Amino acid sequence: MNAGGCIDSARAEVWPQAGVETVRVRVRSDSGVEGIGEAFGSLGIARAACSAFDSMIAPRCAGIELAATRELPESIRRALYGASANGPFAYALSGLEIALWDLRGKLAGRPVHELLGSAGELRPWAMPRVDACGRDADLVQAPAMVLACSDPDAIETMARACEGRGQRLAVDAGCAWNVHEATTILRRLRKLDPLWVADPVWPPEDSAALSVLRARCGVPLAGGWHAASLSDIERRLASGCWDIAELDVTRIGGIDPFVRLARMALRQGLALCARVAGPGPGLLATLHACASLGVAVPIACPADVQVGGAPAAGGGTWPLPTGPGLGLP
Amino acid sequence: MKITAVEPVALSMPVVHRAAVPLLAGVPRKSMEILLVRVATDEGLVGWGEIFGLFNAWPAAREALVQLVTPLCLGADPLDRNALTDRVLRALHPLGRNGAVVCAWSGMEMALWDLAGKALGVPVHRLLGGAQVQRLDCYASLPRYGQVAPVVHDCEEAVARGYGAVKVHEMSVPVIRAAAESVARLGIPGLMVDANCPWSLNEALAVGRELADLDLKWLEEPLYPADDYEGLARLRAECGIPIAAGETASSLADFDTMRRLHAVDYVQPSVPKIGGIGAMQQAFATVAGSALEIAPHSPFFGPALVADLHLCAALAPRARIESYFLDLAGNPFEAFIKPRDGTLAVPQEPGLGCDPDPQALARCRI
Repeated sequence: MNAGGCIDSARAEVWPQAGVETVRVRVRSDSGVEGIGEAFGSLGIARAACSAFDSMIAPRCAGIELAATRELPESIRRALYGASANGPFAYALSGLEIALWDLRGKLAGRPVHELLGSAGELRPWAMPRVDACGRDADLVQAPAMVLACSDPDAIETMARACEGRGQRLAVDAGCAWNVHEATTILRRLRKLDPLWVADPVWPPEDSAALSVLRARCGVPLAGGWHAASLSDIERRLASGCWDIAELDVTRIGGIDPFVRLARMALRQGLALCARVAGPGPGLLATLHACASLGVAVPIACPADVQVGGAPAAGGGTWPLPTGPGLGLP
Repeated sequence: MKITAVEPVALSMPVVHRAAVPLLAGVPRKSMEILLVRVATDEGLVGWGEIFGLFNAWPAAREALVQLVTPLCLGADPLDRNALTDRVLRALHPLGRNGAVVCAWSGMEMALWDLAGKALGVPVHRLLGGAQVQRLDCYASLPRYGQVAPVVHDCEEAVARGYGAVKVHEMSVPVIRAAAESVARLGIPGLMVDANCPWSLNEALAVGRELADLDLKWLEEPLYPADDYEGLARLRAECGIPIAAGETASSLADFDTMRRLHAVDYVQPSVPKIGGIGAMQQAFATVAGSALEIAPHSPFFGPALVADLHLCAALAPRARIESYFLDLAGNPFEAFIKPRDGTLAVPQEPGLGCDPDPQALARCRI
């Protein structure tokens, strides 16, 4: 990396991408090189995330030396800890962190996974995520998929259809059930051998309830996408409430926190699942981050996200971007 | 009754400086921005709430209010508060169980209590079981200066204004020592220290040893990260100084964690961050039956501080109320939040009983 130089500007904008809103973050060096990142912006949060970026983050970026940018996101998180960890501020900070990786990669002329010390032998594989019960699910040919649905009959129907097609099904229940309901439903599902059920109970932070469910039902549980602070996730990884840690690089703080939490999850014996909202810098950041983990990570993504030239609906593994930085085309 | 409009109202008021210009997160505090929410109904009643906005977090919270919370509330009956709370929190949970979305909801929820009290013709404390006291003792919560002289000046000024307790936001041992000695000379025991999360456990243990002779009432947020409850529990067990924390809870579940781990002596839920008055009740209930004491986080100058008066009058009458020691020019809530003889009156008007002064509001609105 260039020894000198500093950040000239950092900004965020709402960025419609494949039908969903995301937030695109651009960090420009004083030499005119631009790093691009992505903050979580779905579900109506894009403008709030941009607003958090403009008022809380951008003023703390200008003039920072490029050599100090890897520590910058954590130093901002720390300075503003009192504003609380989760939500649009955390998403905006994630976008900054990813953009800084892209910028450092471009300045170094190397892909991000190389900067992370990875040769990238193991490719992440695509797990199409179907957002409404049954809709588009019939088109999915991938060996495994995620169904976002809390209706037990619809889940069971889909699980049987998947069984018939030799597909594995994971379920995202969206925190819809109480413990009793979840127990009944998971016991029904157990014989259909789901890959996992994510976020079965309300509220998502009730680790004790999840641990009880794991012990009772024998269905692997996933979680982590909702979790707030890094220490909160660490505590929950250690608590034995999840079998699979579900991490989203555009929400959790970017590549460094993603890798740190993923490694901790692996050490605790959990499996991993990454989640992305669409194509773009968030997906590329996930690919680079996963390349350094030594396991083939499934990435839950919309069915139309491209995997090496074909829609994720067909499954497949992503080639690792080889261009400088994230390798954004 | 139906909610017909939800309007964010942002205010900016100049800070009147005394000894020096204080800092927040390294930024000089020259003005105070406050984000209110004004909720109108078809019956003409208007409710007011306050959304957490410190650290320049208010613009994001305003977006969250407008984009996410408001559409879920328009047309709802404000007296159906429990159902609306459940609906909103479940609908918005993927966007953070704390952070700007929950802050926006917190202000909205506060306004629903204000409306409920006004609709029923009773102050909010009646809805919470009735005030056990008419006034609440406050402590002067000094801004951060990082230097001895302005801190000692403010300690003396606070005592001169009638406060019976003082908290400093400092992390340097000499400054803390000077403050503790200053208030002790003036007959005020038990300085409180809010360090704002500067230390590792080992650093905090070392500082704790240096502060051991000062008889501090509490040491607040000594560790980073703020929610390192295992670390707080170890610090509490080893250093002997009472520990306070809780304003940055990841969710209500953190209060159960704090209690279970014996992490703190004082829990500090924050009404405009944790989900409003109902969430505060739940936080209080979580620590009920334990020796934990309630010390709400309230460096606020409007409805959020007044909400704590209702809550504590009804549910925690021995709690001291944090009264942030900044003088603001032209605050439309001045009449309700300025202590007299170190105490604040519990409002007896219907609702929160702190409708802003319209002229002052118009002058500081941005």
